[in-house]
Amino acid sequence: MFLYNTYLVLNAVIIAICYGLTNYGLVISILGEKPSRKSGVIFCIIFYIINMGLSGLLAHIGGESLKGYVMLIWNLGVGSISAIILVFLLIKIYKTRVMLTVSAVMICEFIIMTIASLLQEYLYYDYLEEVQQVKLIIYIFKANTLPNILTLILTMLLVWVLRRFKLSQYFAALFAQRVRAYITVGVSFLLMNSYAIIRFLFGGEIDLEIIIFFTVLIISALFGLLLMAMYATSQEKVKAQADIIVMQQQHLDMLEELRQEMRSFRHDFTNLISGASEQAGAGDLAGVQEFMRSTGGYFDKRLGDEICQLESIANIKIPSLRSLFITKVAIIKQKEINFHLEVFADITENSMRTEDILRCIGILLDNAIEGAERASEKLINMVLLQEQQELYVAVSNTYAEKPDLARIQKGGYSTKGENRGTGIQSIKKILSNYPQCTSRMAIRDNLFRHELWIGM
Amino acid sequence: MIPIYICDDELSTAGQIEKLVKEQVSIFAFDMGPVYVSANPEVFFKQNSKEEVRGIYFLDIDFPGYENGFKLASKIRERDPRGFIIFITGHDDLAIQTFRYRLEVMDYIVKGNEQEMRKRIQVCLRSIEQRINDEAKIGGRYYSLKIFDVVHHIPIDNILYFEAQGRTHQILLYMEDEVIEFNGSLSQIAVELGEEFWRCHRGYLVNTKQIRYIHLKANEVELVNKAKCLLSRRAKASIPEALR
Repeated sequence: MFLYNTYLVLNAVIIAICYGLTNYGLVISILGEKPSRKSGVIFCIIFYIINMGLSGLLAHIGGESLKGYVMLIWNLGVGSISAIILVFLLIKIYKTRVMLTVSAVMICEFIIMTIASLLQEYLYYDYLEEVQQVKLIIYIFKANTLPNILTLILTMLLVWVLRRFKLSQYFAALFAQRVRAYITVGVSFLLMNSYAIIRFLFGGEIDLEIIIFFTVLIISALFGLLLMAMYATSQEKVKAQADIIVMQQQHLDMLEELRQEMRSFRHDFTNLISGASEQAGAGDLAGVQEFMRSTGGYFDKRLGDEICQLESIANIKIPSLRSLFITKVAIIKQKEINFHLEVFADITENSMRTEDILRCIGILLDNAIEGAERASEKLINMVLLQEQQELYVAVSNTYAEKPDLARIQKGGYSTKGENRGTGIQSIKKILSNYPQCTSRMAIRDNLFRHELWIGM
Repeated sequence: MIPIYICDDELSTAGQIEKLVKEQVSIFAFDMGPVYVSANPEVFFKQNSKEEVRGIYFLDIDFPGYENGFKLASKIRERDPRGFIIFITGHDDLAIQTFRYRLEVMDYIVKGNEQEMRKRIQVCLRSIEQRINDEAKIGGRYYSLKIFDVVHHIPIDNILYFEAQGRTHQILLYMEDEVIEFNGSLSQIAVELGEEFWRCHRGYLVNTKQIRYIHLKANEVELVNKAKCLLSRRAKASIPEALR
């Protein structure tokens, strides 16, 4: 009896480790994130606790006598609880998107269930033989421990394949659009519950045809998912390339314009210099000083902002953010707004997700453009500063009518009656995922200023 | 008296600014001084570290690279969050907005033309004098809000009200022309600020000095700037004495 009990505990530990690792490993590779030992261990422990707790409960309600069908429900229960925990854990640690994580977990649940039940079926052992203790241990080993270990091995193989061919990028593409994301979540939900559904529909007796029919259905659903993902990715690649071409064109235009300015400046400069040298020849020191001063100002005024813009854009080392700025600079220029951009230290990939940075800065700039374009003096200032603990973003702009800060906070407010408010609500929502964010809106020196300190 | 620190690696410029500053202080009888001058920011910083009072700082940011000027100013900000920083620069500086916004630098002075410099210094010193007087009038009490490594001192009398945002732990601090959103808890702020602020609703903490009307029927509190806060039934029982 002692041997039997010890073995039961050992078995539970092994199952917890196998099951925890298979779930964790598979989901991580579907999502394309890096595995970390810490979160793996946490998940295994949590799973162990659930497993022990539930089997304790099972023993308490006299579950020893329960046979196959109830065991299945029990397994399903353990499965979904651990799945929910895994979802929370992943969102917390990797900050993955909710829908993406949920359906990754559901698909992974399905795959593991399939592998495990196939193995269990294959290794089926006739437990009606005399139930002696030693034999019971062998039975549990064959029917429970071994399939779990094999599942772990097979899953790791699958993980390797997923990583080798970088299939996670296709998976992520399934969530690029809302409708597509809903379809994916739906399909994965059906997949996860396919066994329960089949059992529900046909009761205990299942004949071969139905099994074949459903197998074909499931395989085609999986296949469909994969095809959809691949198609979506290829579409996105084409679009991304087109975007890059447009962006580079815009950058070239900017440089070309600067070159033109330089040329005309050079022309002016030669004239100015010859005037100054005459003054110097005539000994007019005050005149020369005045000339030096005015030329400096002239240079700053004509080229300063533009050179500063280019320098700032060059300091942005995140390609997609850089292209966002190039696009926005072009729009701002077209609307004849003065744009003063300052990025004097490099902006590099940091712990903030690039999509989030892009959305926040895009909204801030759109708001500033909307405000400034109707003002009599059109001006936008922008400052980006990446420091050790935080990313600091500040945008200020002139306005036609003084914005009502309290109403902006409430959402749905715009000086123009459009989506300014929703933009600010989106920023709030995005920033709620980051620790210690602070934002400030203020009216200073006749400028509306919006600042963000984003903790990293 | 509020001390003035001047730091420029070109001694001639430092001397020029010292001369101009002293001149303005004596003409307008500003309550400022003594004036300290130093060429090396490090030495200057050690000298400064002995002091803990609020100061006025004229800093050259044309030390090689913007980074250095910025770091120096950041250090000063950390030590003296309410100090007044004014930059000295060789030209209309390109990164000036970064300093202005991030470190709340007051202004900058362009080297060269003495007449211009004098005018600018006068404007700066006057507005500092003005601000100090204004703050003295309101008793000089502040609510300190730490945003990463910079502590912001917000005059308590400028605060209209605090509002808690839904389920998140975000708090909105409203002032006349400014709204700050940060992580915090309304109850804790209420304890920090004491009697003067009234919790008129679970989600609101109002500065009693800023209240204009209490609309008991409409369950609203109207502030002097016409903003409105919700009034809960429970809070009606706890209307502060002064407002009854």
